[in-house]
Amino acid sequence: MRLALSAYLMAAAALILAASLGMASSPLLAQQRKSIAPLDRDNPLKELISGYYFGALRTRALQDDDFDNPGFAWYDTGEKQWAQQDGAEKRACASCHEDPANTMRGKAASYPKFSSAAGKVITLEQRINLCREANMKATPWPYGSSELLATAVFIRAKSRGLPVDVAIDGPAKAVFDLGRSEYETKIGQLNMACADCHDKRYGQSYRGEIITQGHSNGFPTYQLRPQAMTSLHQQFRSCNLLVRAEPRELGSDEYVALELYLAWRGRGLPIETPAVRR
Amino acid sequence: MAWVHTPLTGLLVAMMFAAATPAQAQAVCKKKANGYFKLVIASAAPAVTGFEGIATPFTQSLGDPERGRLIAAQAEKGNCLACHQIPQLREEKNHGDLGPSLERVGSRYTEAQLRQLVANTRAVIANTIMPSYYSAEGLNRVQASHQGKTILSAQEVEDVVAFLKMMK
Repeated sequence: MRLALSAYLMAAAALILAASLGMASSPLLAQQRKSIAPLDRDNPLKELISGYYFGALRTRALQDDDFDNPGFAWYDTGEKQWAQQDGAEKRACASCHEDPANTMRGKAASYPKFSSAAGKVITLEQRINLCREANMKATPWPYGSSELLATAVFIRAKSRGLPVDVAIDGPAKAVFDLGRSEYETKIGQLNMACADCHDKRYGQSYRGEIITQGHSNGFPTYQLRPQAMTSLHQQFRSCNLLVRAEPRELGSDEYVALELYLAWRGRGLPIETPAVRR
Repeated sequence: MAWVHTPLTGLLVAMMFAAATPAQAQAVCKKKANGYFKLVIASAAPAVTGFEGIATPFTQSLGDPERGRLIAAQAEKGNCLACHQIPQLREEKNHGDLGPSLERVGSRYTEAQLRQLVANTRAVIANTIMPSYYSAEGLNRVQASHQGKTILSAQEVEDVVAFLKMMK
């Protein structure tokens, strides 16, 4: 009889503890996370869940409404930038790419990708600059500049809803391998790898912050806490600093490689740019 | 939020299951067990056993448990709350759940073992993600401002150990 009582106590304590832990271990909220199966068998994840589903319901509501979504301020800036003439050729993006809703649709989904013009794997931002230099005879925008960010948001938003789909074979293979190694190597004074949290501990609580799977499908993302549009490479820098590792330069080879790896790892997830996250 | 252990809440919880048969209780238990139960059980059993630990304190002066408590709470210092539930820090919100609860950790480990776990868990749990608070060996790409330093000083480690010891 005594044994049975302690069994009740343990079981009930477990239930109450579970409830009091709140969102971190809530089965109800976990069930609300829509997941898709990875398209690649050697994906370390068994299910792909967009960062969207790790957000509070109110955060998701902000993303769902284009008028409420703060990220659309950058989209609007990007749209104006698109029509702005620049460079020696006095061209705007719009001069060659009329009707971006159609001409740009689907383009962002395959980045980063190998560019024969550049002779290497490049990101969307680097492709924009390639175009500025070659076709507009304009100076490339620095990687962290607001013009480049806004234009990238604008172009990626044209692919909203389409699945991320990058290639990792051929010339991209070496870059992919570098990206994978960046992801899985422990770094910093805290000695942690991206994979430690985002592959193995998503859904758990890091001092109240629910750990996501760390996908890139929503980037550039409007982040509520800093109240800023954040590019993926800026997020890499923040993550590096979080584990007290020396951050790399925006647009560095390692960050480009990491971006390719993340895109592969999240292949099939819909582009959500401009996403809203905490 | 931390679970508050009192006789009253224990009784309340036991009463909830008073009507259930042992078989039913077990079934409910198993159904909800995934992850949550581990957190409760974790308080009852140590994560690693059979190691000596570090018996010699790192400082001549004794560790101050009050300072240790602050270090455990502060994000720039131990930031223990990032990963552990700590009932003694109930006033702090949002304890993490990446590691076992530290409830009664002073009963599960000796002082020497606690010192080892704070200083360098990796020496006794090879695949841990817990940072080494008093060892800077084998690190990669450390941020310039933190290079060559340990996360906590010797005194801070002793303070934290003194705090953990108190949680019996």
